[in-house]
Amino acid sequence: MKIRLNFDSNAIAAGAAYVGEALQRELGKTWQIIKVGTNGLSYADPQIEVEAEHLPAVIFGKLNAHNIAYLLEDFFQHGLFPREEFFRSGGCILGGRTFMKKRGGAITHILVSDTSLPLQDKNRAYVLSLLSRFFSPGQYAWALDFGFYNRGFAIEIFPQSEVYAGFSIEELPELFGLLSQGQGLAIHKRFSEPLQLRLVSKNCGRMSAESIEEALQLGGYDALQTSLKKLSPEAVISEVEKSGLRGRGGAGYPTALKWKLTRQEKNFPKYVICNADEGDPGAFMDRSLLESDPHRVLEGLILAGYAIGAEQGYFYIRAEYPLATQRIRRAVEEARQYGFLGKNILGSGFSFDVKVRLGAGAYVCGEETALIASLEGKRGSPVPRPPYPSQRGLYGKPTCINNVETLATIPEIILRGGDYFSTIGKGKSLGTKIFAVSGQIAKTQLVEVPMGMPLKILIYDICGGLPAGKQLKAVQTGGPSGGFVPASLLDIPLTYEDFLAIGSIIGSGGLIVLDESVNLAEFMLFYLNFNVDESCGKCAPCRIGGFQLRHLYQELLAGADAERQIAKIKRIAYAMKLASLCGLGKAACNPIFSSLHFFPEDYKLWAKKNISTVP
Amino acid sequence: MQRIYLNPAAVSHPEMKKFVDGLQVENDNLILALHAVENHFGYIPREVAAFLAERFRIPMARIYEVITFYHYFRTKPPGRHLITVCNGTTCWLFQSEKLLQMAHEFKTNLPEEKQREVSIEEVRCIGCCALAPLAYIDGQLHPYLNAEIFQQELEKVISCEDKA
Ligand SMILES: Cc1cc2nc3c(=O)[nH]c(=O)nc-3n(C[C@H](O)[C@H](O)[C@H](O)COP(=O)(O)O)c2cc1C
Ligand code: SF4
Ligand code: FES
Repeated sequence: MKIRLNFDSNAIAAGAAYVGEALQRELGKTWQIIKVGTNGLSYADPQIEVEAEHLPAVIFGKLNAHNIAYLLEDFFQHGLFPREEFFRSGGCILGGRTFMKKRGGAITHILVSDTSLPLQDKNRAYVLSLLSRFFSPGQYAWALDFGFYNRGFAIEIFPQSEVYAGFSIEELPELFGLLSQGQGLAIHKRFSEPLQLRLVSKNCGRMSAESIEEALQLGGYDALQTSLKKLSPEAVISEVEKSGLRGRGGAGYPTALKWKLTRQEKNFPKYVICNADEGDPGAFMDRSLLESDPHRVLEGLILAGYAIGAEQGYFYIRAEYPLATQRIRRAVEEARQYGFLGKNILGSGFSFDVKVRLGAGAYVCGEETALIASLEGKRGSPVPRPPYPSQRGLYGKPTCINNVETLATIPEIILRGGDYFSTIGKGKSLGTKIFAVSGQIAKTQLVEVPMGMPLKILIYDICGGLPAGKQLKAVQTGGPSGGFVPASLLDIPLTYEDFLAIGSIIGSGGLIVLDESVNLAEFMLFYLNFNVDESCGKCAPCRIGGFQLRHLYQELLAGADAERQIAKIKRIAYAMKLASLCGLGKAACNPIFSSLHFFPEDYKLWAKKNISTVP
Repeated sequence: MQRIYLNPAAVSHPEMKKFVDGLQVENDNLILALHAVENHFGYIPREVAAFLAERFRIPMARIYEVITFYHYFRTKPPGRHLITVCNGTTCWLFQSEKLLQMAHEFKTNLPEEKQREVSIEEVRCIGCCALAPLAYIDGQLHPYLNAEIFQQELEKVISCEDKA
């Protein structure tokens, strides 16, 4: 009998430590309480997932000092869904995400939810009273989230752990009647497929993030062992090439090509670096991977080292992520003990070791050349490329830098084969991608989906759309280097190509949902403040341009003549885009162009009557 | 962010020198050294920077170039009370700037000698955007803040201490 408790930074900040102590105290003798990273459902933290033969496999979320008592008594003592007070004091139940094996037998419990959007609970009371006619109290409950929306009423029955959806409210009485008589099978056609495809994040939330043993049980280091035994470094690269994997850090550069170029160099030693700087504010994919499945990222880094012929790897982790740093450090130590790092790994003749380095709060250090300077202990100023890091990188040696998620994808590619991976996705954007959806969204969470899925499905059908009463204005993607997708283009497929075509980027995967109340000119001022703060100051276009742009926006928001301001903004922004040395300055103007293109009216709102310029 | 720092005034020069001499720093990597110093003292005291310069045989200017480049390193000791507000994009959408403003107002309304004890900092996203807006007060992270809760928490910190 297991209880998995989310225990990443997000869960801890939400109060998971208290929940963990309470559970340990009350249930520690009979239950195994496993502190996992995150299952991705960050909005429901603190939360636990239950795995036991005699109880429904559900997630209880938003636990706190008040509601946990009901849970302990009703569910853990009596095997019943908790009483109404549990929900009234903030608690919730999430269904449809179990890893339990399906079981047969008479229906013991049933979860119900209305997945129609816009989200509302207006039928909750009616449905619960309906259920009370067929089932006894504690056998049924209202679920907050099944992981899909826009499919009418949905139910999950236990012990089968099967989900059905697509019912209208009129169908419910008959459905409940049938179910209560044990005739559930008649509705099989309603089964609903999961929308997410979890390959890279599949073990996140399933195992302790601090135990290599658990990682090994779930296939950790299998890809490394296979590669070292059966595949040459070239064969590893060729598998990655077949997969079509492109860098997940933002630029989308083909990973196999980067590896090939670095392998080609005849200058030794070589280095591989895991870019765990995750500077894009509002994004938390990399943090979640590092905190939930650190061994997978490490395994990817070792494989990258094997592929390019490096014996030394580095993690460069941002200083704001102490827990990720701690878990990676621990993973590295454990991997050393188990012989996955060190001299002559698993008798293959390949030697590799890893060091962990911290950033110090500088966004620009996510840029490759700045990151290298920072690793060397210097200030993180970018230098012109070429030479590329693959030619001359860390300490002047060939260096391959990959993003956390890119590396975490590698083991999956090796195990399933590059060909399998390339069947997922669309066009030149293959495989799955993890997104962190936040802002004005009903269910802030991590989502892993096949690339090419329309953004709209992700926002509405997976994350439940916006909170009640809010209207979607745009989705911000790619952070301060990206752009905006207006509500009218929400059908856009999540691919590198489609986003480029509308002047944005997918970026690293942060999606921030903006509602009608946000003014994009104001939003831009926020980004410009960010860029001015984070510009390293090395080149004039970015240093001065950013400063000027900020000033122009301040004037605009103070009521200056919009037409004139916009003309000036455009001129400076073009110059900055063309002449800046590194990606920070070059891309800083992308959201400006994007907002001007899609939301020109936001710039005009501010003009004050009778004032043409602000002194 | 949850450390209790030494009181720098209570640390003598020889002790600082001893700390610097005792640092185990691979490749004389300056950033690693600065992290160690900041973890220990809560900031980079000028004296320590001088000892580092001596030990690594580099000019002070190069050390300050690095310290001032990175937001994480402080050149002044933080006050006994440290308020760090997340001002990443998601927190900003949920009014983090109002929290910052409140923190500053709270500070200005304190008696003068108390004001010196309070430091206010910003951070750009700590990756817990599901709990936005959030802020650290003395190492404790507070999720789902609003003006009312934030004010209460700020007052709690100061009044606790008055009683002590
Ligand atoms: C200003 C700037 C910031 C960046 N920040 C990050 C970051 O935080 N994390 C990251 O993985 N890549 C970041 N990148 C992209 C990296 O420079 C690089 O392209 C990436 O790490 C390569 O890995 P990939 O090919 O696996 O994506 C940034 C780029 C720029 C220009
Ligand atoms: S573009 Fe900006 S961040 Fe990049 S090198 Fe120039 S000043 Fe520095
Ligand atoms: S923006 Fe504040 S935690 Fe991400």
